Amino acid sequence: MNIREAILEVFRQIGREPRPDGKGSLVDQGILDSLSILDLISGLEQRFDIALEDEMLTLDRFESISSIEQLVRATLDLAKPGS
Amino acid sequence: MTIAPDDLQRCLPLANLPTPIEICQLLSQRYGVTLHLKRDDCTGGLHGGTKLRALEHLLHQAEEEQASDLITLGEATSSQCRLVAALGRRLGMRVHLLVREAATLAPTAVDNLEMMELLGAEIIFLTQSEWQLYPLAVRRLTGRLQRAGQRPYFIPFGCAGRPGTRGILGLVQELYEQQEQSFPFTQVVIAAGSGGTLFGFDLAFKVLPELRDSTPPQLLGLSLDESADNLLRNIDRYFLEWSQATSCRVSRSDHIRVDDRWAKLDPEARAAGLVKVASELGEIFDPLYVLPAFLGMLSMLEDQTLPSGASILFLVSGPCLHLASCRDQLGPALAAASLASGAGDRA
Repeated sequence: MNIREAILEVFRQIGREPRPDGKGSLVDQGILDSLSILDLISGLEQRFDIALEDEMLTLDRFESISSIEQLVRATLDLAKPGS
Repeated sequence: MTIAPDDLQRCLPLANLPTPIEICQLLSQRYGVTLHLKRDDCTGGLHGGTKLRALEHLLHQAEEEQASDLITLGEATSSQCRLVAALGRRLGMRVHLLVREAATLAPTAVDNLEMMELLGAEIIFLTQSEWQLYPLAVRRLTGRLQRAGQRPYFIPFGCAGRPGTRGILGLVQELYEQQEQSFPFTQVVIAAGSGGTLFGFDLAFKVLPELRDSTPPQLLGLSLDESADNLLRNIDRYFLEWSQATSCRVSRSDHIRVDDRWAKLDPEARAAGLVKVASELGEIFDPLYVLPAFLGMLSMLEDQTLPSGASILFLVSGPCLHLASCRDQLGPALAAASLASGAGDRA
């Protein structure tokens, strides 16, 4: 399973279903809100075995599935030995 | 699992308790009910309100954890933010407030923000979008303070969570004691912001030993802002968090009802309501936080959703601090009321 598919699975686990085409803002569509964002962060951290840096938790990084994918990739890269 | 009386002990008394219960004779007679007003606007202490009950427990926990900084959030008109700014200052803690930005600030909001600034709080404005995901801002701020060697303590929206809920359980226990070890109210009407007070009332009948065998009242939440669905989701979330924290599975009861028809009442309607309630009852309720719920209750009395014979408790959850929110509309509302009563003709 690739990263994008794994992220979509985390969304499903927290009871949220983003548009399949990934278009539009997750916040504007009501998919992410003040309740679901905590579940999402915790789900991502568990699924990818990462700790998301506080300073990286900005609104723009949760705008879309693609931006979340970039956040996860960046965090995974940071966690690689020697990085 | 039940709550032991010691768990509700007030370790940091900030509020003047118990607050009185008054009977509203005029409305009781008019509608054939007994309408009690629980005067939590009298908790005192920097403008008080029911929030002060929750903050006693939250700030006690912050002290126990040797917190150096307090973080909380709310609207520019937020009583919670103002109270935390004041109480944090008293307790020697720095206060950081995440405040939802508004396109225009009503005079009452400006007053509130100025009070927060006077009290030395750091105010961080969040855009509407940032507000939607405010936990991100909380986590960033918490991390920044921790990296600077501080010990931040977060007070959640609506003072929700286990420590704050103890304050609401204490309120229910206080009502029980004031009514000679009984809970005679058949309906409790509450202005609902985040749903924390509704949750606390519902929970009380599941975890307070003295109330577990009582018939719970119907809990009517008049939403001030959120849709009914969102409020019920919040309440479900509080139950889930309580269950996880205590390993005691509890869930929302069927006797909670939420009405969002009175949320976001426009200033004209608030001004007209203020005039009506003041002239009939001699009461001036806060037009942002208490009055909409009171008007909602009046409507339910009128259409008999609250039936005759009911023993109703209305929680006056805070003092009147936001008269300026409908100042421009008050003159026309007074003139309209005067005309309707014929006083205008006599003049």
